[in-house]
Amino acid sequence: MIEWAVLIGLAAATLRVAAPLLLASLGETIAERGGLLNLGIQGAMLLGAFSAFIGAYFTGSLWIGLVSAIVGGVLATLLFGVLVVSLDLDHVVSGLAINLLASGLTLYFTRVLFTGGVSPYLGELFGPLPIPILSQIPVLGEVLFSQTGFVYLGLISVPLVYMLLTKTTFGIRLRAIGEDPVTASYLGINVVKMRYAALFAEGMLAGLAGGLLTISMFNTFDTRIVAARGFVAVSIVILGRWNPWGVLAGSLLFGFTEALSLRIGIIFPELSGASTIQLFALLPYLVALVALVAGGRRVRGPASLGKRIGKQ
Amino acid sequence: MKTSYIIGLVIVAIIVIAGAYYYTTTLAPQPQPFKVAAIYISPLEEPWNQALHQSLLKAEEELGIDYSYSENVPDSDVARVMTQYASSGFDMIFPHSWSYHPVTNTTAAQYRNIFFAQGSGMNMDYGNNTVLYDYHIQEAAYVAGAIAAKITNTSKIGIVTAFPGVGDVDNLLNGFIEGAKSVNPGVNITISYINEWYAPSKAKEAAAGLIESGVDVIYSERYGVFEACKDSAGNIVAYAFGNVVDQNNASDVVIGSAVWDPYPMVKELIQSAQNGTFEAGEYIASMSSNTSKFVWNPINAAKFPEAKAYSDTLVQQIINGTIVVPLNFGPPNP
Repeated sequence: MIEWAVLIGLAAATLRVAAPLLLASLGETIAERGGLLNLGIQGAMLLGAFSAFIGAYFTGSLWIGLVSAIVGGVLATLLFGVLVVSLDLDHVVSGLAINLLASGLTLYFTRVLFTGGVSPYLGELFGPLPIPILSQIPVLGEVLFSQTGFVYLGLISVPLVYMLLTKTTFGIRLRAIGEDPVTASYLGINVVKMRYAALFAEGMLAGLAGGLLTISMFNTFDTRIVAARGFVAVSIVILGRWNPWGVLAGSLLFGFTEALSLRIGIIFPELSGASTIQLFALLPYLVALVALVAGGRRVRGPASLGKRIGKQ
Repeated sequence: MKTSYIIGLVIVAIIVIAGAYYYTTTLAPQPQPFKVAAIYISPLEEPWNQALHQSLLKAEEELGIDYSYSENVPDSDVARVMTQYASSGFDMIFPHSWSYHPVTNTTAAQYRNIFFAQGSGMNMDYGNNTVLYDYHIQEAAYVAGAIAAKITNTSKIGIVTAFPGVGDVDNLLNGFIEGAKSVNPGVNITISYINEWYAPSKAKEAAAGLIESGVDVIYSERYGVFEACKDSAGNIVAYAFGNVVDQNNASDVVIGSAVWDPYPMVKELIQSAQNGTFEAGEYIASMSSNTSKFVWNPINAAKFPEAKAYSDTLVQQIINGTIVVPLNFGPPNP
């Protein structure tokens, strides 16, 4: 028999697991709508995670950690901007180079700053922040309104990014660039400036997504902390068809399947044999694959996505 | 003509003498320190790596050895790294991953005068210059299990671990389960697998799930469990145990840690290699050799004096052989 508390817990966990994916893939959506295929988001998240931990550890303030997470993420995406926007280099190669650079740099500085292979622990974390009154609502209060600030931020960002992209001049211009940067520039749009702005926004969100991991979810830094979340975020953007609402759905899908696979021994004890557990672990990827095959053929991304401008 | 000839001879003589002096004082071969290398498959922060790394740093300090290491070395690259160490004057190499074991076998056969200490692996064949070791801390895990069964209020205990079917990890889980059942045979134990070696977010979620189902003590075989053990108001809702390295300062929810301390083994291996008594074989860690320990978190030792006293007796009984916790690499049966 499945207990009610376990099901509510599963729903709340879905949001917690989805939060870093949601923040990162919203950032990637903004960049890709401007035609920038930034695989370096993985490196931006890692730098965000690292700088958040370093900032919080050496100052003793989680808020400074939060600010440094944003700084770390923005530095990585702006470097991508220098390579891709200013120098017009290949998007994929530049992004992968940034990932390698980020993993090398963070390992190097971890070894320089902390000896003995032991990263110290933070004394406190950004914990859950129950919203007064709303968190008292049965079920919904526990699932939606007793989360960490990062979850709220992710959820609020969905309509904000949607409005930014569809209702503002900035968004309309950015999407025009994403379709055809050369024509957009003939129309007087400053392509370089707009793309840097998009990357700045992506860096903030990716930095926060990484920072969440070291100052809210876990209390120390390890070079493996981001896992493959950056790449998952890129696939969520495709799954969500470059639309913030679709990205929300994709993030929740990944969050739900992962949260379920981690509770399988509790919800279905009879299914907890070794092979079933392995099967549940690949569930998120299986679901993503099916969703892509089912709806992917009609999907068309921004026309200039990942393309170099070349000499004009 | 003759004077200049003599002056020339004197200059040559001075150069030769100075050169000889310089050679004997600085360039002549000095007795080399014993050189040890370790190869790690993941970053040093991984507890399994951290334990050996700390021991080798200690050996550098106390035994005067020279210690080098490579981290993040994938299986595909280990042959190159190991050969490089073997051919550049290292005396002992620690290939510290079970997956390195075939490469260790071939390299050890090639470099007969170098000592190899292979970290984990099962039923392996080894040459006469190789020792096989592993973190056999099932005794410490047994003590943790007994403490868990003593302090649980719900009679529900949890384990958060990586993959099903990994023998040397299952050995620890079996020790923990046996310890818990020695106190309360009817205790309910749930195992959650996260299917990754390092994924604190998954371990945290798995622990949160266990806690929601009523579990109030968790054996944290992987990183990430402690952060789930407090509610939003900061109250402790579950206690946990650290594994392999001492994690007691990570959080006040940590009762104590089942610790693997390879230093006594490292010391013995290095000294036996130096004085020519090195013997190939398997090195089994144990509480009696001080390579397996249960270390209480002082805060919680004060909070649970009865469980603390009980665990002290258990440790005594394990050391003097009254209680035997066998190696058991089979699947856990909670």
